[in-house]
Amino acid sequence: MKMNRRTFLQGVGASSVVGSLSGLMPGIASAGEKGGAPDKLLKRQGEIKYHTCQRNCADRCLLKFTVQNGRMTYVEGASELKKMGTSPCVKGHAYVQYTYAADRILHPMERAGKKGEGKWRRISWDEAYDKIASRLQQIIKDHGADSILPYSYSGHEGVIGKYGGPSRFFNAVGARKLDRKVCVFAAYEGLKSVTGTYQGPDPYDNIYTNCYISWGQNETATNVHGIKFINQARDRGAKLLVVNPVRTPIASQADIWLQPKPSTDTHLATGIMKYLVENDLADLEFIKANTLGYDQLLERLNTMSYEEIERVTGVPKAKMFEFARVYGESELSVLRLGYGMQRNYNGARMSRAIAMMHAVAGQYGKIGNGFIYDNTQADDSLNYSKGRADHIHPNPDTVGHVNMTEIAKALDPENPTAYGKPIKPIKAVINYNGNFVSVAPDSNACRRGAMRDDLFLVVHDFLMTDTAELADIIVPAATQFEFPDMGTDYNCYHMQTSEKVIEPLGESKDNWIFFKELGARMGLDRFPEMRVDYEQILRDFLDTEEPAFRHNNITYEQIIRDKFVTVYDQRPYFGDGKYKTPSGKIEFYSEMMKEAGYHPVIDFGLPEDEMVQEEKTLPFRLLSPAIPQRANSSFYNVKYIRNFPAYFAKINAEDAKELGIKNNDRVRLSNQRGEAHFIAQVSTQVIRGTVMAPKNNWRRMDPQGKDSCTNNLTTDTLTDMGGCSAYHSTRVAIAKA
Amino acid sequence: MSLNKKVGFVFRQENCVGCGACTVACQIHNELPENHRFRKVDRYEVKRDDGAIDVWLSHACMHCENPACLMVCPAKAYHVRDDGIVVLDREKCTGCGLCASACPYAAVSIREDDGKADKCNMCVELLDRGMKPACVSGCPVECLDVGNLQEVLKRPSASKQGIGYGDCITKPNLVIIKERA
Repeated sequence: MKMNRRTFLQGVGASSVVGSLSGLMPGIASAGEKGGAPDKLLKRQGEIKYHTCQRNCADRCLLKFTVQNGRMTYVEGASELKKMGTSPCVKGHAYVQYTYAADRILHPMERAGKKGEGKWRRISWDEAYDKIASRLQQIIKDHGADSILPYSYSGHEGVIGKYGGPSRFFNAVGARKLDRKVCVFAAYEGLKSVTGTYQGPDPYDNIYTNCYISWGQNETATNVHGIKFINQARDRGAKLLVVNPVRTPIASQADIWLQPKPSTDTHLATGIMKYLVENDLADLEFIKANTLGYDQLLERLNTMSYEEIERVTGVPKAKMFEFARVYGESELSVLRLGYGMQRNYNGARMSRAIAMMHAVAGQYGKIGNGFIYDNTQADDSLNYSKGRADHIHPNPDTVGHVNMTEIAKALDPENPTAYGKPIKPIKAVINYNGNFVSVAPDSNACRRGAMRDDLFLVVHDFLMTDTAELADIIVPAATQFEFPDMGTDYNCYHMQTSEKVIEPLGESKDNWIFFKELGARMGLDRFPEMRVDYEQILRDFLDTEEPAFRHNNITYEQIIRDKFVTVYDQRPYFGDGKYKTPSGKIEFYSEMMKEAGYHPVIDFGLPEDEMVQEEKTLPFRLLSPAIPQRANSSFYNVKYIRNFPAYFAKINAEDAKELGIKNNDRVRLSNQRGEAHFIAQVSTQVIRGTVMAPKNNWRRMDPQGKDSCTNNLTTDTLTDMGGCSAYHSTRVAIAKA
Repeated sequence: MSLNKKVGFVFRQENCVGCGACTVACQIHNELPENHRFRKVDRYEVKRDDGAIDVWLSHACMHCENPACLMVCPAKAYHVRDDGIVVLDREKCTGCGLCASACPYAAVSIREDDGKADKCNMCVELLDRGMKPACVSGCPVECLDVGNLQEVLKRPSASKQGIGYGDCITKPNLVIIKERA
C-alpha cells in the first residue's frame, strides 16, 4: 500500500486500521511540516484493541490500545464511553512501559539457594508443572487438600483473571478458602444497617447535584475520571463540601473542608445531624415517609454535646455549623463515601452514622442526590458460583477459611489462627494477582510466615515482588493485556470488554492457562469445568437471571460487539421509596447493629478503645491511603511512573518542628510491629498527631535500602463488622533517622 | 503575524489536582528520556485565613511572543510559526545551553541522551492534524486545553495571572481560566 499524507491522516485515530509500517516510513519522513515530528505519530498507527484496565480502581477505564505487528505501541481512553474521556490516569498512560518493563519475569524459575536468598535456576514449564504438581499432591496426601491456600486479590480484576480462571483450580483441588475481605466490607455492614444496601445512584447524575460531598475519599487517587462530573456541577453553581483528615486536592478546592481527626466521623456526622435537627434543616416530610426510629435518633443525638464533638473531632464548632447549613440548605446533595475510612476498627459504625445523616437531610431518592459507595450493580449481576465452578469443591461448607487480612496470623510458624481460633497449618500457598508481603498488614509477620521452611510457596507473577523473592517456584504470569476477559466497574454500572491485545510475552502464561494446565497435570481435568476456554468461562458468569442484567437483555455477543454495556438500575435510585432493610425503611434504629453488639442507633466507639496499651499511647495515627501514581503494589517498576515518590511521610509542620524534623529529612516510623523508613514531607496537609504514608510500597524497592515498607507498621486486627482490614487504626512514633 | 491565528495553552488551574498525567502523557508522546520533562506540575501551598490550600501549576513552554530562547540562540535553531508556536529545530541545535539559561519559565533544558536542547512544541504534529496535544488529551480531569488566544482572552475569567505564573517581558501565552472565587 502506498502511503501518502492523506491516507496516513485517515489512519491516525481511526479504529481497526492495519498499516504496513515499512510502507509508511518514507511518507512520514517527508512529511516534516512546520517543525513537527510526525514520526511520533507512528505509535498511534495500527490495529485498535479495546481493553479494560483491571487494576482495583472504581473508574475501571475502557482503553484503546494500538498494536503493530503484535506489539502494543500506544494507549488512550476510549472516549466513546462517557465516563472515560480521552485520557487514562497518570499510571494508565504508561501501560506500554508496564507491559514491556525490563524486569519482567519471562520464564519459570526455582529457588537455588535458601528462601529469600535471591538465587534462582531457570526451569522449563514442564519441570515447573511436575515440581508443583508432585509437591502439592504430596501435601494433599500427607496433610489434606485444605492445607493448600490461594492468596490473591486485585492484581487482576477481570472476570476470568480474578476468579473465573484460578478459582476453578482451587475448587477442584478442595483448597482452604480465602476470604477476600481487605476492602469494603465494614462499610457494607454499616450502610446495610441504614438503607439495606451499599449500592447507590449513577455517578453520571452527579452533574445535576447542587452539592457534592466527598467524605473520606481522595478522588484524585481513586476516582480521577469522576472529577470532571463534579466540576460540571460546580460550573452550574453546585457547592463542593469535603470531609477528610488529609488535605486532598479536592479538599483544597472545596467550598468548605472539614478536617476531623482520623476515625472520628461518627461524632462529626452526629454534630451535623444535631445542627440539622435544631435548625429546621432536617427533612421531616422525608423522615416521616421513609424512616424508622427517628425519635430514638433524637434521643441519642441529645446524649452528645457540641463541645464533646469538637473535642473528639478537632473540628471547630462554627465550621461544622457552616458545613451543616450549606448541606442542609442544598436542594440536592450527593454524598460520595471513600473506600479508606472503613478500614478502621469502627468502620461499620462510622459508615452507618454518615448514611443516617444523609437521611436526616432527606437526600435519597432523587436525581442529583443519594449516597454513592460501591456501585457493584454490574458486578453483582454476574453468576459467580457458576463462573468459579464452586460446585466442584468437595467440601465447600466445611472447609476452613482464612481472612486475607490475617494472612500473617494464618501462616504463623507456631500458632496459626484464623478469626481468633487455632487452625490446621497451611503447607502450601499459591500466590497470584497479589503480593501479600507488601500489601497485607504486618509485613514483617507476613515475611516470617512466607519464609517458613515447611511452607511451599508458588508465585505466579510477572515481577520479582517482595513475595516472589521468597518463593520456592516462580512461574511467569501474562499481564492482563495478554488474554481476553471482561471487566465490571464499581462506580458507574458498566460491563466492558477486555480484548486480548498481544500474545503472552516470553514463556508467560495467563491466569487461566496456568491453572488449567497445572490442574490437568494433577488429574483435575476430570472436571469438565477445568477443560473450558475463555469464552465458556465468560458465558458461565453471564448465565445470570439478575434483573439488573436481564432488564436490558444483555448478551455475551453484545458486550463483545459494543465494547461496553450498562446494566439497569432504577433512576432515581430509591425513587420508589423502597429500602432494602428488613423493615423496608431507612433504619435509624437497627436490630442488626444491636445483634452485632453495638448501640442500635449511634455507636461512638473509637479505634483507640480497642488498641493494646503499647500502641494506644504512641503519639501519631498513621494513615496509609492510595496515591495517584500507584495502584496497590503495582507500577513501582514502571518507567515514567516509578520516580513519583511513594516512600514519603507527610508530617504536620508543628509536629515536625517539635521533633526537629525538616523537609526531606530521613525519618523512622515505628511501633510494636516494626519500623519503616521514609523521607519527611513537612506539610499542613495533615493535622497534628497524624502522619500519612502511601500504602503497599515494596520492601525491596525501599530507596533507603532498609527493606522497609508502610505495612511493616499496620495492624491486622479486623474491623468491627464485615471482617475487613483496619490499616488506618494504627499508631506510630516518629523519629529523625 | 496576526493575533487572530495565535494559539496558546489554556489552563483551568482551579480544577487541577496535580496527578501528573499531563507530564507522563507528554513524555510518552515525545518519547523522552525518563528524567526529561517538557511539562511539569508544581504544587504551591497558598496561605488562607483559615489555613492553607494546595494549588497546582501545570506548565510547559509558554510559547512567548518574545521568546528568550529564540533571541539568544546562536545557531538560529528556533522559529515562530504563524500560529505563534515556538518550535525548536533540534538538528540545528549545538547544545550550548544559552536558551535553557535564558528561559524565565525553565521550559527548555538539555537532554542527557544527546546533549541538545529540547522543549515542548505544543505537539504541532498533532495540532496540524486537528488533534490535541498529548498533555491536553492526556488530562483525565480535563483542565488543560489549547485555544485561539484572541477568542480565549475575551472571556472575563481569562488572564495571564495564576498561582506560580505571571506575565513577563517575554510575553508568555499561557492563559489561566478562573471561574470561581
